[in-house]
Amino acid sequence: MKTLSILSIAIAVSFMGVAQPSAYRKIMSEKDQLDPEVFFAQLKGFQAANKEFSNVYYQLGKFELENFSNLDPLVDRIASRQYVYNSKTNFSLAKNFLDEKEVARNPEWYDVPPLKRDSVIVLANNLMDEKYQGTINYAEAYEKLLFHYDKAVTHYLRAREDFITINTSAENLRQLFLKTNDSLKQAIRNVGTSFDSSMHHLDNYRETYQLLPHTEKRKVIVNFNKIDHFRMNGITPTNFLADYIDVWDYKHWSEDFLNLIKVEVDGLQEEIRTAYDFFTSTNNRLVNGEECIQANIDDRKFQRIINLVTKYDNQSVLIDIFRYLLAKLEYGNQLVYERNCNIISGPPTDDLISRKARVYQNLFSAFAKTDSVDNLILTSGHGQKSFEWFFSEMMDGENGSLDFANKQRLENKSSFRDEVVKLAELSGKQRFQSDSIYYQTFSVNDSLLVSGGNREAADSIEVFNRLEVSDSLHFLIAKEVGNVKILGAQQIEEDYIVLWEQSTYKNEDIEFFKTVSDSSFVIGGRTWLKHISHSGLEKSTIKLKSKDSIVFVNYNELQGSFEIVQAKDTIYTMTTIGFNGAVSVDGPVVLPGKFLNMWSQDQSLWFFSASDTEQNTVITASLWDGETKKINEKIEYNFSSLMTNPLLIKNDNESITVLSQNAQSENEFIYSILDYSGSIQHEEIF
Amino acid sequence: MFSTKRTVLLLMLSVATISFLRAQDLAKVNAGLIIMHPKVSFDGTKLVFIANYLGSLGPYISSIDSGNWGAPEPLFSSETRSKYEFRYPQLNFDNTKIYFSAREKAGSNFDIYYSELSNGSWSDPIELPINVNTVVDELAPAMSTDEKKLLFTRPLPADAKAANYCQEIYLTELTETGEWSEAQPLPPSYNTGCVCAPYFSRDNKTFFFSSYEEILDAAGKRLSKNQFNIFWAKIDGFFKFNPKPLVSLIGDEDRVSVSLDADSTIYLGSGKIFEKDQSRMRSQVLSASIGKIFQPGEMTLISGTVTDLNDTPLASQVQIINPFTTKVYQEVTANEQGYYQVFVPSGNQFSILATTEGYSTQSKLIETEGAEFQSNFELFPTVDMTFNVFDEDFYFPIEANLELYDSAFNLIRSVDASSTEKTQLDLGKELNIIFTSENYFADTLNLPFNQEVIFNFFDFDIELKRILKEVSFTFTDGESGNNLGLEIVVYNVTRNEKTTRTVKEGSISLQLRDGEVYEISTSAQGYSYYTADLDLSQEISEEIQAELQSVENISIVLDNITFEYNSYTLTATSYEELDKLVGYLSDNEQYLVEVSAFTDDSGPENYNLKLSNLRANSVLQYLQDKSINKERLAARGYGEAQPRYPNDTEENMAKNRRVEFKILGSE
Repeated sequence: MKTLSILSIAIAVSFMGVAQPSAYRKIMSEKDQLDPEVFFAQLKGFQAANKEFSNVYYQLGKFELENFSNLDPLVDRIASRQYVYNSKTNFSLAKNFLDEKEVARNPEWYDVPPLKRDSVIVLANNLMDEKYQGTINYAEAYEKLLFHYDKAVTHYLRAREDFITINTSAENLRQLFLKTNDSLKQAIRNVGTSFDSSMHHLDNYRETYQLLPHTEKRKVIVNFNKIDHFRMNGITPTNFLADYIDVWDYKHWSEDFLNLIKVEVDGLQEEIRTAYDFFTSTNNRLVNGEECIQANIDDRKFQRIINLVTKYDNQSVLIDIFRYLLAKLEYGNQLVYERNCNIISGPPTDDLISRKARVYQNLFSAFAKTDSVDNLILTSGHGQKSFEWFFSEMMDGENGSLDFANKQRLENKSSFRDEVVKLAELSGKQRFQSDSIYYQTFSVNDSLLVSGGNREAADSIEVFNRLEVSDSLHFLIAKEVGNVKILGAQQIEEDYIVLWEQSTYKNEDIEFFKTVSDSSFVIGGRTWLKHISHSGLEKSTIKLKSKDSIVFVNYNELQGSFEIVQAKDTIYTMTTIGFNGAVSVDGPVVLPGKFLNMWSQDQSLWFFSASDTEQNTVITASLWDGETKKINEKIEYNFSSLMTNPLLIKNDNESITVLSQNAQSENEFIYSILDYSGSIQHEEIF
Repeated sequence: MFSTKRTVLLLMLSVATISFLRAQDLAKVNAGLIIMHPKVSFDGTKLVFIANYLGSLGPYISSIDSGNWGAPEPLFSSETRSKYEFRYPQLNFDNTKIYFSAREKAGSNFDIYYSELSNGSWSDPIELPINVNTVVDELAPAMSTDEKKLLFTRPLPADAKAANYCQEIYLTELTETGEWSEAQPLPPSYNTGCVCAPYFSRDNKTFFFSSYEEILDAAGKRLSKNQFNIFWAKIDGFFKFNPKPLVSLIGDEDRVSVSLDADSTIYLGSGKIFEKDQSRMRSQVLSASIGKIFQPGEMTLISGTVTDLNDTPLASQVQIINPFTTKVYQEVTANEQGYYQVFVPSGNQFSILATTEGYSTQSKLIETEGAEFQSNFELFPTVDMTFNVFDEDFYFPIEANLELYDSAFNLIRSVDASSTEKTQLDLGKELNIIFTSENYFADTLNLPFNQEVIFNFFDFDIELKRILKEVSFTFTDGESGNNLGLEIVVYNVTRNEKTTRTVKEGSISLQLRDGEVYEISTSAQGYSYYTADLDLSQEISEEIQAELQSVENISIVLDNITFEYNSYTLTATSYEELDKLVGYLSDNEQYLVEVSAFTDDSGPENYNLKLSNLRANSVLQYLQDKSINKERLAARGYGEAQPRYPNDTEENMAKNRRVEFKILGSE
């Protein structure tokens, strides 16, 4: 039985060895004539009946490998995988079942040249190894190819998604820049990273593709023309941003955009911070300091910030704030110059008071400009939505800009008031009016008081008022044994060295005092006026015909002449005394209110007087024509407020200052600038 | 040859895989004498078939109504029904087309036709092209859901000696050029000799068909019943799955057809053969579930509506795009109700893009999961536009006129001037907008609204460039005429902007903004100050010669300095000139300056001397009050001494009444 079995196998093998090649040879001989599909079907049919015939596997492997290489590897994935897998399996089987005799007989089936038997066998063996290993490599490369392509697409889609998020996060570019924060920066960076990863995988895909047998490689071209897909094939508001940075490579786009942000946003933030810090530290020194300094305002830097902020949001209150900072620093510079630098220690003459009035007029202009910009912050309706970082970082609370503006307004008003009040003090000093009442009785034995004097009376001297003209000269009004005197004295601590003394006319009380020049003053009473130099010299004594109260004296230093106005109720007379003593009296003039001041302007003498209604004060300029000796014109200035003892000062031939306490609120000052045509240019309550 | 016994056995075997239910809900459909070629729509909502409800044989449609199949309604007009003989109707993926075989009753061969649904009516039959229809019968069209593959049958060649009803299955595919390819028979493994009634299931890969065999009795006589074996098969690209028998039926000839609804319930037409006394013409529709392995690949039915913002339906194009390949997977048109539906493979990402001419575009990236996915689109015909017009250099808003032009630059309309213009623009055509503003160059914005627009609001920043005028300055030494190199301050008074420019070799060309006011000044060391006021809203000289006066050892007369009559009080008109001197002294902080005043010779000499002293002092005080350090200043009155002109005429005397300044030295 055993023999029979072996014989049966031998017959079977022999049968196969003979029968197979003939059927197979027929298939192979018709290979070129057959439709590939039919050829394939015939091979499969043969293979189904002949499971261990090497060449059929080899042919199937080749056929499937060719199919694999003709497919689109990305679109036809299932088929591609199957073909390359089948090909690998078939080449493996072809290798396993390789029959040396068969190879030697039919080398052309194995694509081997008809050489000597041994060579053919070696070559065929090598070829089988090579084909098998090749398909293993193809299978691996194919998986790698798909991996890289899918990764490339995934990263690309992620980049695109982030791009769209950035793109749609703002209505326009300006808003996008305004919204720039760390998360937006990160999103921009992510676009670049994802896009770069995509390109990296695409490179690997292309490289891997070269390892595959596909003859026609599928092209993936990524460039500016193809980037439409990235932009979602649509016009979006900030797609123009993508055009703005003209690259197709979104890694570059991301980098360029971040650089742009660094310059435009971070740079601007830094500029804003620096400028605002400069303001806060400088402003404090200007408004409250005692140094004579000037802030170095680089208005171009401020203007640049204003321009850039305007660029991003022309409705931002930050624009108003920076305009304000600029105005405030300019105001501060003027303020500090006047307060700490421009110290003038001259006697309070009309000239000095006018000069100061002009200075304060300029200061007021700076104040008014500052205040109007401040007001803009409060009323423009501009918001602090954009540049939120500034308001949260540099200002307090939700109402940062409003609180800032209100605080600044108080500071500005207070600083101007503190300054302009000096004008009133100066005017008071001119008329020997001082806020603090001085009273001291000196004994005759007091060596200090008497050292400069020349008296023998034993009674003490009663000093009831004093005026500091300069460090070395004080005027003291005193009574000694019932006689009223004015003393020129030098103060040493609490005591005085009397430099000189002048008696009044007939020991009458001093009812009028005025500093009339840099080196002289007048004192006056009923019917008399004495002109005395600072050195104590009596320059002249004028006797007046009228017993009316002296309300005004003007001494023209150049001409050496006096103009004196006396009043009885609202009736005023004017006495002019020439340098040669010639006296002329004009008037009476009836003024509509209380006399304030008087000077020449445009060939006329302007008498200014004030009267009050219940609600307001009216200042009237009554123009006296020297030729007709009449008031020929009256100009009224109707104020909004009611004044207490207004002070009226000539600034120059275009402007007049009015300064007064507010009758309706004792703690308030009214500052006003008038022109000569009846217009009130400014009326501001401080 | 099969025997009847064997057939019964096959049917029993099949029951293990598939079990039929005589569903009650088919009662209304099965009410006719003949019900044949039923095919359920891909979404399972409609059933089309050929039937005879006590009248003539014709096509019908039934819709699901409260869970049951509703009363069948005849398809097509009576004229069409009487003209044609219909076979094998099939609805396409979104139930807007019916494919079928038909022939004119006059007697011709069957061809494949389709009819389109429009405004609720089905169009007259439209014949498929010659690549499909030939002189022989084309029957049983089976269209894939992507409408790119069509299976149908043709009779076996005459020499095959097959039975009359024996067919073979052909496949034609839609090429990229939109034409049907030459139909090719399926390989022999499918066309085994006598097959019919193919059906492409919704995954476009799996398909079903039936083999067809006559049944002979024991005597070898053909029975009036036939053996139908339903096969499952699949073609996935190049990879083919051999057919597998799924179910076997014995029925009337030509009655079997297979289709699947959205739940993979199989619908079959069958003659009723098992009941006695029933005419063989009685037939019915059967439905049953099939085993999972035979079900087509999972598909998601994406459906939704495309409307405008007022819910008005839009017959839009809806593209299903593979984002990985950017290839259009399928394109469908929403119907009059704006409704669209399409089958796509589940578990994939797709971009859906809805477009309508004259409307915006909407795109959604979706991931298909489950059997159904709803995606509605809202498109809009206009967009809100805001144009913010700015000055390019300074970003401040400017008023501009807007003119809207079409792509050929024909004016559409003008919009009034405004710096922030809000307007509404129609989509669908390219627009060009020209922005003009006085003193600015015009600018054009192109809006390609003929392309896809996906946002309904745009906020544009338009920056216009100011027209610049060129003004040339030449700075020379007033005495020698030599050109001077120096720095100048270009002050834009309108904008309150200052810039410093360096003048090399005496000449500079300035580009100044049209319509604005400038002040060009210089405080060159060694020279007096120079200022030129330029109002560019007026005609001005384009070339300006600036002669600078040297201040070395020379007294410079200050112009326009006046005092009140017989007084040393400065008049306010003097301030402008004095402020220039202040600027000069601020720029040249090194200079020590003497201010001197002079009178004419009228009046006493002492008086004049005193007056001139006081006047010089007034000027000094002015400078001091304007923050010039008084240590740098000296004032001196010269009275009537040093007249510049003989005091012989009033004009000369006026010239002699003057104020001068002189550089005394440098700190």
